[in-house]
This record gives sequence, C-alpha cells and structure tokens, in this order.
Amino acid sequence: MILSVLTMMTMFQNKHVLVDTCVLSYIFRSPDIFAELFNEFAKVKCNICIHALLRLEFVRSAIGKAEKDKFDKFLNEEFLTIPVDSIVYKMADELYPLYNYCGSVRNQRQISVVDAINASFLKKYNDGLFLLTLDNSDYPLEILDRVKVGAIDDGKQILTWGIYRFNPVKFEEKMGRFEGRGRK
Amino acid sequence: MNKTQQYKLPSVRKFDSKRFLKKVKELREVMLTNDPKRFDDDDNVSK
Repeated sequence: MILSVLTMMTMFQNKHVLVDTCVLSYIFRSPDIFAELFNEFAKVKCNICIHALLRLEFVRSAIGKAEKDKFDKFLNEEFLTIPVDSIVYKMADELYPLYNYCGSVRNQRQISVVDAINASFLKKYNDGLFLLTLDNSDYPLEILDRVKVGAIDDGKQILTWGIYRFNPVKFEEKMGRFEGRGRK
Repeated sequence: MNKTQQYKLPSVRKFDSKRFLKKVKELREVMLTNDPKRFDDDDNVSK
C-alpha cells in the first residue's frame, strides 16, 4: 500500500497539490490506495486540485453522455478546479522551448500540452503548489524538484508516484544556458 | 511580469476519504458496466 510518508510532511501544510491525468485515471483501478494517499494530504490541510485541461484529458475517456456527466459531477465535488488563465497560458508558451531543450538533452520526446500547462501552474504558484504524477519522466529535474516519491503496489504491478514543485533558481540557471547567457 | 509576484490559490476544501472512496467505487462500477474490459490493459493507465 501507500508508504505513509506524508503524515509528518509539514512541507505540504496548507498547500495545494495538482493531480496529473494519469493519477486521475489510476484512481479507478486502485480506489483504496488513492483514498489513503489523498487522506494523507488532507491531514495536513493540503488541497487536492485539477485544472480545466486535466479535466478534459480525463473526461474524454467517458463512454456516452451519462458517463461524462458522472465524471464531471465527481470532479466538481471532489477536486478544486483552478482556472487556466492568460498568465498560465503565457508561461506555458515560454516554457515549451526550454522544456523541450531539457528533454532533448535527455533524448526524451516532446512535452505534451497538458504537461506544459502543469509545469506553468507550478511556476505561477511556486511554493504554494505541488504536482502528483505517475509519469515521472514527463517532469524534468532541470527546472523542477522532486520532493517526494512513493510506491503503489496494487497486486498486479508496482508504480512510483512522484511529487514535484517548481525551482526558480534551477529555472533561471537553465534559462541562462538555454539563451546562451551562461556556459553550455 | 514581476518575478516576485505571489499568486494565491483558493482556500482549502474539506476532503472526506470515506465519501471519496464511495463515489470512486460507484463510478468505477458505471465504467465497468459500460466497458467490462476497461481496466484490463495495464498500459492504458494514463491519458
């Protein structure tokens, strides 16, 4: 089950955690595990949230309108939805080339739109917002910090979740190299 | 844009793990009714 690592984590006290689409999907494979994990966040008053594009990415798997309506109702009732505003959009626009630069160094595929928006949210809200994901390779440590990891054993496979936050110092340093201001 | 500008997120909402679990399990049943093989593919976790 979940490693009980969040209980004493004052780092998350009164903060927010953004839940990636892969986590939203996996909740329905292992409900007990994620109820337990989210409860650990709740113990330190850490709010669980999504944004409009995460919602779209998840809801698009609905079969029929009735199921979509149930998805919407569930997300509305259980997750705080943060609006994707022009600030986040602008940050994502700026982040794309840098993110791809980090990815190309590691021979990784291009960043997805939702991953860029997620990273932009982390940048906008800085130390007030974390990201919970199962797709750890999508979030480059060149500009983000992985502050916590844990394992999920659902009896069929073992998955690793990671929690990330934006690191402005790393970002500025990487941006400097990217723009040719510092050493390559 | 001012790099030091601080943005605030909305205030905290109360999470109830029992309520959450009940809703997830109900919705999971709906999903499986609509497609019994929905969770068979381990590669179909994300996106």
